[in-house]
Amino acid sequence: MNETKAFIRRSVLEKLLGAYEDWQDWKESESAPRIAQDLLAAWGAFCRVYRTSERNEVAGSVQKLLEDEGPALVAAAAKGPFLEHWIEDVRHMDQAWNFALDQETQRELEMAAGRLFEEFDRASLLVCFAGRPGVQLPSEGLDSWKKQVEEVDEAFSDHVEAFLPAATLASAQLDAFRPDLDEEEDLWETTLKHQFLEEVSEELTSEDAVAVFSDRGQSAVEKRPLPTTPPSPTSWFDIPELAMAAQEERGYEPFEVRSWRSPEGKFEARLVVSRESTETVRVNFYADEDESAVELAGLPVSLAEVPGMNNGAIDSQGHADFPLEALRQARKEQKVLRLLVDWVEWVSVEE
Amino acid sequence: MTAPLFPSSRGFASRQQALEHLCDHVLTRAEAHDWSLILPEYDGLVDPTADRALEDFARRLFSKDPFPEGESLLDSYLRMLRQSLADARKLGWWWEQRSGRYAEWCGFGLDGVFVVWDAQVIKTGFLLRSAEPPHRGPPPDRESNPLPRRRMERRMPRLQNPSPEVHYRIFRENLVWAAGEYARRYPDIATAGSDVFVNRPPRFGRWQEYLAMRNESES
Repeated sequence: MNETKAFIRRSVLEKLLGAYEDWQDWKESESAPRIAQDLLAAWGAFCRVYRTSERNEVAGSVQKLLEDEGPALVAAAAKGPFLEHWIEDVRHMDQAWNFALDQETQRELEMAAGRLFEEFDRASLLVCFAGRPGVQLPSEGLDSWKKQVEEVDEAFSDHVEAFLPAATLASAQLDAFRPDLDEEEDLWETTLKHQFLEEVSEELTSEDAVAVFSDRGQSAVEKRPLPTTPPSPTSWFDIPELAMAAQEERGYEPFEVRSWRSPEGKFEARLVVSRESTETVRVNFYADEDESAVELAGLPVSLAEVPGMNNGAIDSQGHADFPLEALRQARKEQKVLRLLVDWVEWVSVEE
Repeated sequence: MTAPLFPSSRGFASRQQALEHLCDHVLTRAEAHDWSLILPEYDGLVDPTADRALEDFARRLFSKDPFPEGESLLDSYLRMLRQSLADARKLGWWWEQRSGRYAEWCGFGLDGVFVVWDAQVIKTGFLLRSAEPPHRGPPPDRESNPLPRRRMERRMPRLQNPSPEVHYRIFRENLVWAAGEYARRYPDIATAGSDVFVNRPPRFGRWQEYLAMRNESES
């Protein structure tokens, strides 16, 4: 057995025994829900590595506890927080990578990637064990957990490059999983995320392995593809032509060419061109009923990575102007026409 | 096995860096809540549950006017980092990472603080369980935005009263996350001071013994 595999086996066992001791010591405390979750997830992680025949020998006390107190553990676990803020944290982490230029920021983002991957894995193991006979969570609670894990899985796929710092460990874990794991299908399914991360990592590293991993951080940032929509020829527009159309066909009336909605759906943004659009174009922000969204004033804004002209922020009237020349240059460089407000991408609205 | 060196400067590379770490960790909720439970001076200086007070406090750190409360909190934070570093060296709760001839150490103390340092400086020190991830924008002007990591929309956990049990939970949960980081770094780790990041964490009684030993050696 190689050294890393032995390390994983030992870590998994020690983590399980630690969680068992923690439950014994603190099951009457306020921390019990979290500890119950840790113990169930640790048991799942242990079962991925140790064969059924080995389990009783190395962790018989835990096996007995699960037989005796399984339902109580699951009931306690159901009271704890479950994947709170996970999706929001991943989006945040992904965006933060674009600005991680110093070593300490990179270190913290790498740690965040490892932690979020572990939390996702922990949650999928919990769902796996909470659905097994004998320790079953009430179906309402289980369905809610399953739904959350599915949503998190989707967000993981969308932002998988942000998890590359966790790929080495995920691959090592895959090596340590027992070869007959597919006999327990629900448990095997919890390893799909490890497989996906390994595949993506291999794909990226095969292009330029040395550059991506020789100095995790800066080079990884440089090599990471843009996290969202790929450039599309239809995503841009020709401002001079549209400005001309505005003049000729609409009698100098401003002409709306793009609109976006904020992620929570509360605000809208509309990019308009008019005969004045020779040096700048304007994005207007609206709240309900076409009221200007003055509450967004001061938030950083960018269009196709071009910062707004008011020191990069939305102005006090809820507008943001962008220099036309810089936008033309961005188009030439095949930047994606996306609107970011406070570093969050808004959703393009199709007319 | 050689024990890690103490950083020769005993602090961060610059005052600005120290202040930024203080803001990003000690004054940013929800990590601020945990810090207030392990830094005895914290509560007397600023309310860790009051967003406006935390922001005002943080902004004053970067002004040129004298701000003795700010200096007290900074001293307290730096003392805690040095204490954690000393715990890590004494108990063997550290690992070494190397890049060529450059070495840095990651360590963990009895209060649950994770510290990174090299032969010259402390590079960072924070509480893994509650730290907010880095800011998702260009480096901010700290005078106008002293707490860039803060996310107001996040629901804040309730602040618990300090007690040995709460203190232990902070220690234990942070140790589990540090062990996760150790596992992620495992192939790159040159040396480790002990198996603390692999073995199950010390239980409450054992942890209290360690604390008593530390207090004894200090007195």
